[in-house]
Amino acid sequence: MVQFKLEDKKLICLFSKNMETGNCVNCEGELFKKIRETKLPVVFDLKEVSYIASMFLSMCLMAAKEPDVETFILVNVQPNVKKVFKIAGIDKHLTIL
Amino acid sequence: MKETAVADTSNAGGIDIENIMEKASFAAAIFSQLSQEHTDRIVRAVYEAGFKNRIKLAKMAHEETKLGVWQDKVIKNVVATQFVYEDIKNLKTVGVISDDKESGIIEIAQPIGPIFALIPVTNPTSTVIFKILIALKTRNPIIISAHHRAMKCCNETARILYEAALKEDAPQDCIQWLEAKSSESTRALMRHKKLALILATGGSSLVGAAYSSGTPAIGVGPGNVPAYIEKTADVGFAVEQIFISKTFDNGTVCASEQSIIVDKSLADKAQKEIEARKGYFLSEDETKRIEEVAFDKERGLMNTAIVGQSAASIAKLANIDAGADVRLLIAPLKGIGKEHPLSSEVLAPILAFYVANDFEHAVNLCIDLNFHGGIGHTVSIFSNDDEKIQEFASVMNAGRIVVNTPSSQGAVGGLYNTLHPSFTLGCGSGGKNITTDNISAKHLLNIQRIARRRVNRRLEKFDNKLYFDESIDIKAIEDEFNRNY
Repeated sequence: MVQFKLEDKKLICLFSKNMETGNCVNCEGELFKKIRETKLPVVFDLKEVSYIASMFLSMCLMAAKEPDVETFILVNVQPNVKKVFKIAGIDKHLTIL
Repeated sequence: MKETAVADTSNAGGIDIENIMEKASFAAAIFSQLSQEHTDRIVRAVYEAGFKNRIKLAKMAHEETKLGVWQDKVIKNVVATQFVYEDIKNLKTVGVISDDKESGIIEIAQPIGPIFALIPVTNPTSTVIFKILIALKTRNPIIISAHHRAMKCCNETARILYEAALKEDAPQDCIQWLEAKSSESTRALMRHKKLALILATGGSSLVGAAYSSGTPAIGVGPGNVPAYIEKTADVGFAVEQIFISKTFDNGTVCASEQSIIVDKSLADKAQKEIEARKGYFLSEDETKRIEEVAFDKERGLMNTAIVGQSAASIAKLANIDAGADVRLLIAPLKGIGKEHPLSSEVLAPILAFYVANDFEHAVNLCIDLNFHGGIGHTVSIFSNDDEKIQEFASVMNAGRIVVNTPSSQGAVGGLYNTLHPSFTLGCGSGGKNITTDNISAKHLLNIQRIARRRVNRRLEKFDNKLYFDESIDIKAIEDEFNRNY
């Protein structure tokens, strides 16, 4: 559901499924454990994600606010998912490339 | 289940508006991804939950508000669930909803965003169910703000429906409700930049505040429904229909009849039919006593203490012996206006009664009543003469002209006609509203239109230079433009 890669001193989190509430619940613990362990800039790669639940929005905000995370970015965001960030009004608080 | 009721965070009657709106925005964002099939599953589940709880919620509403008749509130809940669901279930509200190859126009339905719903004390649980169903059908999150005298039953309704929606994977916080409220917090919510629409069903001051908030609003206007029994009407039938309507929930529906206007030739028969159904004709002195208890003279409005009360209890308040089984109090009046308080809207089983000399006189009385506080709402006629019905309709300022129908149920729609079932009845510009429609799901969508290139073929053949020649008159230009080679 989420694969981790260390690349150019960044933690790449590749989400492989649509991030419905159930999937968010299942991966949340592992995800934040990894983020806190590595203490590196975090990249959420959403290439394979075409649906997100509100819990995923919260997870993005939480990741961006992690004290040891210097930068947090979202990449490969599909248009329909990008629109979700816009409607929620949180695109201003996140870096979406 | 995540708690979605909004707590009083300031301990001073205030509420955390930013928190509410952030949750609503998140819900709107998630909603935008849902398919028609998923949306319809949610709506079905919510409808079923509302229907299953129709009796419990009706009893709660009656117990809390002390208004109306609980059995009639069950019927209101049935209309708000079964009838509204039947009306909207097949409506396309997601993605492409039409594709006209000839015109080249494709219509795409998009949600509008968070809706703030004001709920009246007179139809509390039914209005909550109705507004939630049409909001969810259009993928819009909704925030319920109940009248302070109906907060418990409304919030329980919202909670039940939210739980049902979540079971079908609806977005978190797609339904929120205010646990506390103040006029200050209501105004702040109405003005919030993330709010898309206010669905304002309630009194004039509340609707006015919604309109002046700067946020788009769909409101309602007050009613003052005249019911005209024209000479071709079946008088017994007409009176029966008026009783069905005006006694329903003790007259709390804003579309209920406020006066009967009857042709002179039918007046005696109408009186007998009314009395046979336990309608009590008030004497002049009794009319004055009813005015005393039914009206707040200082404010020039009906007295809220008698709203939704039975005819017997209102008669008792006025020290009138109308009998324990009295169903309607009838006040024969000679005029219309402030000097005749019972010519105004009273949401209780009280009706004014006028005898007209002829059709013209009757229509003039109806116009005066219609314009005395009920512009744009509803009027009623009992007649079997189509010409007279149309003549009557053409001079009324009413969104709904119900014919041979109990007006409470007729105006709400779905029961006695094919109007859209609704608990928010638009009153057009007369009622300071944007529409005369019965508000439904279609009003909660942004419709995008893809306009494919379809050049006006007449323009292609037309010599545009003619537009720059002032010596050519309009007729010549039109002829050239419309030339069929």
